[in-house]
Amino acid sequence: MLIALGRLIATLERCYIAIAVAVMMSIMLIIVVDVACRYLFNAPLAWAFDLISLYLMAALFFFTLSDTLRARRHVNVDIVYLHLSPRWRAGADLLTSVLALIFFLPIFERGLDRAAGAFVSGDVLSGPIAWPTWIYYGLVPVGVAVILLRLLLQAARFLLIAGGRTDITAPEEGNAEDEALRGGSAT
Amino acid sequence: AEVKLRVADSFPVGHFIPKYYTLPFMEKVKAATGGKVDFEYYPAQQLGKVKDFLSLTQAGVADIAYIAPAFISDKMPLSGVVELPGAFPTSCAGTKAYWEVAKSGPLAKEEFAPNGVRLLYMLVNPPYQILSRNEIKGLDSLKGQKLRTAGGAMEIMARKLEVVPVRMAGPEIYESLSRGTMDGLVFPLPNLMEYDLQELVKYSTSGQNFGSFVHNFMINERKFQSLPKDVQAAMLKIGEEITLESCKQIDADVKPAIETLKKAGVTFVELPEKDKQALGPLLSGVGTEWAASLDKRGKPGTAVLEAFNKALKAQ
Amino acid sequence: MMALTITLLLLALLAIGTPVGFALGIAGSVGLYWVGGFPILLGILETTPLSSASSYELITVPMFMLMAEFIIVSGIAERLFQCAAVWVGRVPGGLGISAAIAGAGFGAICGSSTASAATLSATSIPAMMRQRYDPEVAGGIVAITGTLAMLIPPSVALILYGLVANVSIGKLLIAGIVPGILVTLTIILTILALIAINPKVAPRGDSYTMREKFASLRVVGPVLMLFLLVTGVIYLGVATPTEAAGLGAFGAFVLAIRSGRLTWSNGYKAVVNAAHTTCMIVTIIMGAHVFGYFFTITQVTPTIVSAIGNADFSPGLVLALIIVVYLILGCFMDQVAILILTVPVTLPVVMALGYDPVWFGIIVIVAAEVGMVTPPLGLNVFVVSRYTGRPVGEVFRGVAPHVLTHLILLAILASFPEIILWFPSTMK
Ligand code: NA
Ligand code: NA
Repeated sequence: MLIALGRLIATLERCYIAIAVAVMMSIMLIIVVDVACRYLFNAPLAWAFDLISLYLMAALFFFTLSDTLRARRHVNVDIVYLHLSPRWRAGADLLTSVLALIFFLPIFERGLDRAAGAFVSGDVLSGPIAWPTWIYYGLVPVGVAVILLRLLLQAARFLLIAGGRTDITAPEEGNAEDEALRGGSAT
Repeated sequence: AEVKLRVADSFPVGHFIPKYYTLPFMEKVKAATGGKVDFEYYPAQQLGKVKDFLSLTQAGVADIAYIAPAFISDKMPLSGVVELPGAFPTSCAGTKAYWEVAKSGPLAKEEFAPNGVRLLYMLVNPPYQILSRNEIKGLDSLKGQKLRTAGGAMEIMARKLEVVPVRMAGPEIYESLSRGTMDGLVFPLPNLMEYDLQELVKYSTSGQNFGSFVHNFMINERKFQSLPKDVQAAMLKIGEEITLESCKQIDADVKPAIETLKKAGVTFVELPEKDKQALGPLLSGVGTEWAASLDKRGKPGTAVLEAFNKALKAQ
Repeated sequence: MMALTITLLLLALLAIGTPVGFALGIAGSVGLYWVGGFPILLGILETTPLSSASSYELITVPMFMLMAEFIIVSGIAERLFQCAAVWVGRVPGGLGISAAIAGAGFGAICGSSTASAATLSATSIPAMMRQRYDPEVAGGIVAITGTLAMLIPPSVALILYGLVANVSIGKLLIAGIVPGILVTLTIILTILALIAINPKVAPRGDSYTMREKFASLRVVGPVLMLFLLVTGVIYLGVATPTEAAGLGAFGAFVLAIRSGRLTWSNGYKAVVNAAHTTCMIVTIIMGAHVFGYFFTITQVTPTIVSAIGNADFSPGLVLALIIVVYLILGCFMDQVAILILTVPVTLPVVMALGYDPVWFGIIVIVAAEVGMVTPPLGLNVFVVSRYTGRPVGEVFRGVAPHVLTHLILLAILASFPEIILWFPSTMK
């Protein structure tokens, strides 16, 4: 069961990350074309600002949310964590997963509600291009749904490890220092 | 105090809108109700982003909040009627007409009630002028200039005037203008100084209306209904007084703003007569287009536009 | 009391290894529920995640991360180092000095200091080891030099400060140039001082012919182009910082293609890396907002600001204390988290004392540079240690003299604001 769920989540994450890659490259190209059109033809892309700030930035975030967790790229401070035994670590991770699950659940529910509301009433932004807003609001539940599944899976896994059973759902993870390294590469 | 209300806006401390509106509103309501209500004031987006204030008010995070329809044109598209160019000459004219259609007219029914909020007080910006680093002689000289617009109806207008609309986040305006990333902007004169733009523009149109902007301050309807009747009455009365009085102050501030701008080297340009003639139909075409696109979506765009124009004429 | 309890909860979550963004969000949510029950909590959770992610100016972050990833693929760092080595390799400590110069040059086109440390380790440390440098000294040089990338524009760290502090990002980036040069000089002087104490730690290098010297300069062209494409464009106002970031990413993309090293697979991986880092940053921003709204409703920040204002300390003392806090936090926490968490509290204090927010931003970043190389959490040291296979402790020891001189420079920059503020003041 857990293995099947794990495969499903991994497939979803791979699709999502492919979308995120396309979004990232699109942002870059749109900016370049926008600036070029402004200088060469005095005709900036009228839709660039709205498209990027309304859809693309949010898409970039919500489509990477779960995969970033899977890849352990979220930074953490692990002064205490590093000194724990593997079982205690699993216990700490279990607590984190459960709390994060509780944190993301209302975000998902509210996001779904908001998107559905905007869809039903056909909300669009005023202006030359009538951008529908349900797509924008919909990015939240679409992205958060997968991280909820991922957190559920992790909770189950850490429960097994903390309970002293062998983990059968996921491959080995690196050491904590490696993880700190992979996490904090932004500054 | 029996009730404490959280008031949220996005204005920095010392801004003229809280100075003329929110702070006096809170003071007067407190005094009029003998301390039955008290306010906790959260300025400067402390309680959330300006686009989220409607949601935050609906959820009860804020009880009273600054809700600018232009930022949530998906939720309050009809309020965009004030943003249409050409309609009125002063802040007070626009404020009174909007107040008319908003207080008990179609906006209250179509736009505020469904969103669960009630309008307490509001103001309409003095009409926007076109300001530029390049010389403005007439409408022809505007063609091809890169002007910052705020989206919405203004973008339809930009197309009609054949200017190049540039979208720019607020904090980037100064730098873009100072370094020629754009040529100018469509903006209310008194607000230029807020962004320190007086040194950067050289020309401005004079006495035109190239659009405007409405600032609404609204209360969560459920919260409002839960308040004692005398408090409700006091809020509505004081809100109306402030709305109709303070707009005079907003209009009075235009003149010193023009003086400041002139001192900073801005030339005010009266458009040639034939351009003024041409501008009328051109700009009212923006309104027709705006209303038609709303009608198509099943919203009473034309009805609101007519009600607004009627309220303007009645003044 | 409430604020204190929730802060303790935050610290507890951080201690058990909860990702920083999650910890902030969870602790903040508990606080919001405590203050106002479900309505307030759900109201904040409905709006904050989306509006944290979809701010237009935030585009600079993914674009600078993308630029850094493509530059790594292009292998330009190696060529920069070789160029510097050909020119100054002959002097005592030549390769170390070359590493510092190449680091500054690389910093001028790369916004991430860990990325910079990683690339520099892979290129310059093997060369220094071949010339029988003391491994401690070699590792120390590279670890500290990597941090230049967060001070010299482009810089993700400066962008984040600008976003949180609501300060002109253009001015901030330009303000990083002069201190960046000063830090480079400080590193070079420190190397020379180490040699003066013990000449064996960093021997003289090879000499090259003039022909070789000029041939090596070919790398300078593309680096300069890329620097002008971003920082030059911002300084001259051809484009906004947001647009400059996009142009920079594109320039780096072209450079990676031209280097012949870009493949579908490493290119895809580069973009995924940039997306992950962006997500990590936005998660922290989102969590910090949730936590911040709790703080706002409990009125903590104004209380702290007025308490410090009433305490009648001298501005210099308050500033010194703030810097010390940053240095201590830098030992334990990631710099992104530190910036996003603390600036909303420290900046109002500093501004109430009459200091300039651009200047304070640079001071915070220079302090953050130190944090990147101090134990126990010194990311740049981990990077160097991993890329070279040397023990972490050795690199921490090697970087210690640089920390000392860096702190002296920090004190100078804090005492003479004009050093930082002069260059951005020439922008118009
Ligand atoms: Na840099
Ligand atoms: Na550290």
